[in-house]
Amino acid sequence: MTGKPTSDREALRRLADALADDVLNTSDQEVLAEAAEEYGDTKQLAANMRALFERTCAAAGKAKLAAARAALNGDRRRAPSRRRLDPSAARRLLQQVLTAHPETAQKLTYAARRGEGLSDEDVFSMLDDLEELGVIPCDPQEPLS
Amino acid sequence: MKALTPAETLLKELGVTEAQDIDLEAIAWCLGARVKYRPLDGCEARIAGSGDQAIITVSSRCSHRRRRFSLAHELGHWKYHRGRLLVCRADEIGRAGSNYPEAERVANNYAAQLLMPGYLLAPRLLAHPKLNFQTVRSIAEAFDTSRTATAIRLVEAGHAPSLLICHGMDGRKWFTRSPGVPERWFPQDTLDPESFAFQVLHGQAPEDAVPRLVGADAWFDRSEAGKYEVREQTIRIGPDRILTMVLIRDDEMLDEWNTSYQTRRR
Repeated sequence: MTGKPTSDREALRRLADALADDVLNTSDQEVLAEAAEEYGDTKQLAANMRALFERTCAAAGKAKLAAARAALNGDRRRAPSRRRLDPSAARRLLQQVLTAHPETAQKLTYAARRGEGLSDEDVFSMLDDLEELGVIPCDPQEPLS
Repeated sequence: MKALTPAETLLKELGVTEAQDIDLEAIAWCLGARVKYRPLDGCEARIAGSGDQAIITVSSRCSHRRRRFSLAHELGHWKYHRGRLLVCRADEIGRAGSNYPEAERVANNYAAQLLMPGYLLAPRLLAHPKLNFQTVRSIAEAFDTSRTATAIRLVEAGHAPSLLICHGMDGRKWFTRSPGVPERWFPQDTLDPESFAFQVLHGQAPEDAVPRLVGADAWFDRSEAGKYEVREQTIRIGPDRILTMVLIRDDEMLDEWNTSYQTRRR
């Protein structure tokens, strides 16, 4: 290290580090005294900063939620997939999946584990979901993982 | 300041500052879960999860508010029971009481907190100091929740000392009580003909417009009940199902007693 900055960005980074070190090496009392001299009531300053922090977090959260809404609106335009199997074959496949993934089926009710109480449509849509999640392959000839 | 629950923390992180901001589908998306609505025959909702991705399917046959609760319930499973395929029956979603699976209770509690977070609920309740079904209706409108889910939330949040009891034609289905109500106040299995609720369920009586005064022994099979009065208000929540709020105003009823009921424990 020569101490000579290699770029403007590097110079700024070193300046920021030096300022941070300066603050960290200052005692709490000194920081409070400096803040009081500059801003007056330090408790009010802390409250204002906390409120600013919360507003910033809330704004970032709202942006994330809005982005999620936009993404899922787009996602809905996809055509739904549908498995073309006869119902008994579909039930056998579901049983195979549940046997191959006992932890997945752990909390299924007893009746549902045996496929009882589920209509053919329920079984088909459950297989669609498992296929979308990659639990079962898209190609029926491909063995279950 | 009361600590935030996991559901409330999530809402705060997503910048939810108003009840109408609670966009459950978008929240699910943020958590890696996609939501589908389709007719389901063997259950009311289900979740299939693998790794950090899940697909939640909610019955399209249910009402809008019921679908919202079911979706929030499945998000509770995603939070606490990740990586499993769960199929949830209608009688497990959005009910109270303790005689049903623990996993479903956990998911129901999470759903209630997600739909009606305490930090948004408390300020609204300031405008509704009295607990009754008028308050429930107003809060339900604000949070886009069912009357049943809202009533459970308000009773369990301890808005007023009370019990909430659901009855069908064959007796009590479930009940819950607010935190300050001693466990000795256990509602009878079947409706007493002296209760106003009896006429709503079995007769043609209309829903109660306001809570009405009735002897506590119409609700509780205890000798000391004869000394007290409570207020009850009943609404219909299905063709053969009613929901009754029993409000306790007498401080003596709220005193804790030991099992022999001779020594007071304060």
